[in-house]
Amino acid sequence: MNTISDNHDLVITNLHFVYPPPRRVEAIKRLDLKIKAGEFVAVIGHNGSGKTTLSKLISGYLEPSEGTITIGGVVVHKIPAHQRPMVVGYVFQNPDHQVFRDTVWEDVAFGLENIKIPEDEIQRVVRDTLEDLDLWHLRELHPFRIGKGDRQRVAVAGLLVMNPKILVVDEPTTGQDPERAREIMRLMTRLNEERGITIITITHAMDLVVEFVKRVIVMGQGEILLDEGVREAFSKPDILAKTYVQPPAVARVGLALGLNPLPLTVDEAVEQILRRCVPVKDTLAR
Amino acid sequence: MDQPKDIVIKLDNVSFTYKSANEPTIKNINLEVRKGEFIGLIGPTGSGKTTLLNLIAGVLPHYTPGVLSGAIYINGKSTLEMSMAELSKLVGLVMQDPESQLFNLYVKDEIIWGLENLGVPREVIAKERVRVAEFFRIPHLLDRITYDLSGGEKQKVALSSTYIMRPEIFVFDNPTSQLDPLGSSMVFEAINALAKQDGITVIVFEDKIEELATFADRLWLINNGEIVMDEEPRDFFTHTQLLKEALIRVPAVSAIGYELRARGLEVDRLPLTVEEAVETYQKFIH
Repeated sequence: MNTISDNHDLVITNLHFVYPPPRRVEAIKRLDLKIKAGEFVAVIGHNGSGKTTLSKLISGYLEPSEGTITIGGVVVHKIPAHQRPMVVGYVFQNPDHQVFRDTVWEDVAFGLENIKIPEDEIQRVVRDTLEDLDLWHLRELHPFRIGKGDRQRVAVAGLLVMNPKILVVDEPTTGQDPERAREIMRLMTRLNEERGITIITITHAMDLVVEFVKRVIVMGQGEILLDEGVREAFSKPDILAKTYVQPPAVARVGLALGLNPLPLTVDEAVEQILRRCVPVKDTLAR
Repeated sequence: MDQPKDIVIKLDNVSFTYKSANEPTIKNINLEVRKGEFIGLIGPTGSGKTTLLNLIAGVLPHYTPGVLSGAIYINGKSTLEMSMAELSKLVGLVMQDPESQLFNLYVKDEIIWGLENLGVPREVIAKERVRVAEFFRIPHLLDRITYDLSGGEKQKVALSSTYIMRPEIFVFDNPTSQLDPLGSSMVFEAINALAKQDGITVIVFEDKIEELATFADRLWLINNGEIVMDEEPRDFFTHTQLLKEALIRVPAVSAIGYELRARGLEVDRLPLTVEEAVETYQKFIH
């Protein structure tokens, strides 16, 4: 149980979760899910559909009422709390809930200090991580004196030093302008590609799902409604409507015009319309 | 201050410099807003948009020290000549981070706190609470602890507790950042109803430019503390250079039109909504 194998697949079997009294909400209902090591998936669904509960269960913050969650064959909530960050990291919706020390450097080093890593090793890893995430120049500052986007990267850096196999990212783009939201998603893409970290992101930003993610898990009422490629999922507006999700604007235009395959980006839509077009000279002649 | 009767907000050459800042955050802004207008504010992070909204709501410079030059008039009266109590009856502000505005233990108390302070009779308060909770679809949250709510739920509670006060002017700073797509559309429709039916003046900052393009009467673009554009939505998105400088994307449905035009198709009117886009592009499809 103590050794984590090289295979870091996430396997969820018959997962059930009910919040304790007084809420007693049945948040996750008999859910099965498998995410292979190195995947980049998005979990979407309405507020209260169970997305955040699922991500807290995956990260070991909550213990299943029934069923199991394993990463590399190891039951997540049985991994000791100080070792869990080496398996799975959870990026909170609000970075203010996650950073708490007096300088950026100390905040990022915290997890390593907890597992008694030699000082020179800590220095090296923290330095490399801060440089990699473009935070080096902020290392002496208090985390609450820097911008929210930077603070979010500090939270991510604090997880990365632990070398996790899976990062669960809860609404990474909340409170960010669209350009910064893209920056965070680009960072996740890079961590996914360069380090092979599995990324599970919870989001309401459908345009970002289209741009960055291949597989989408659609949740509603504590169950998985759809689990497939982004294009396939956004081709099913009726099912998405059950969990109050709308395909992005381009896809909605594509659906209404009956374009097939469904366009997801502006470029795809333009190409599709041109291909189906009344010959240009006719249009000009009118 | 002489001005036409229906001008409810007037900014007269307003600049604002925070105490200990070297340069102004807001620079020489002149604006007028008529009663019942729905204004959308767009701009990148750090552009001064929250400062501008806080100035209009009177939070600045009442609460945070800084130097204001020029003047902001609400119903013809300078905000500097009004007490915060007077201002808060006229202008309701829903802040970007709902947590900074919730402080009661229970949702049911949070919503009616403002009315209780005005000494409104109990039976009226009870009725209003039911009406507002239903309007924002949160009756199931009334007995919950505010701290325990999800981000989206907190946002709806913050909206409810401001809405119940029936201010003449509503200022929203990113009101739907944590809501799912249906929650966002619902809030936008509610805000639109406030303006169109109740004649309430609304100013909304929002990252979801598609929603603003659909509902707003006018859009302001703020960049580096200056208002660089003040246009109706359809004209607004034709100024591509100004948008690019502010890192603002044209709505995807309009972007399709630009590209089709560039490729030789006759797109007479750039669509702003999915419905308009379908109508516009339908004629090109065989």
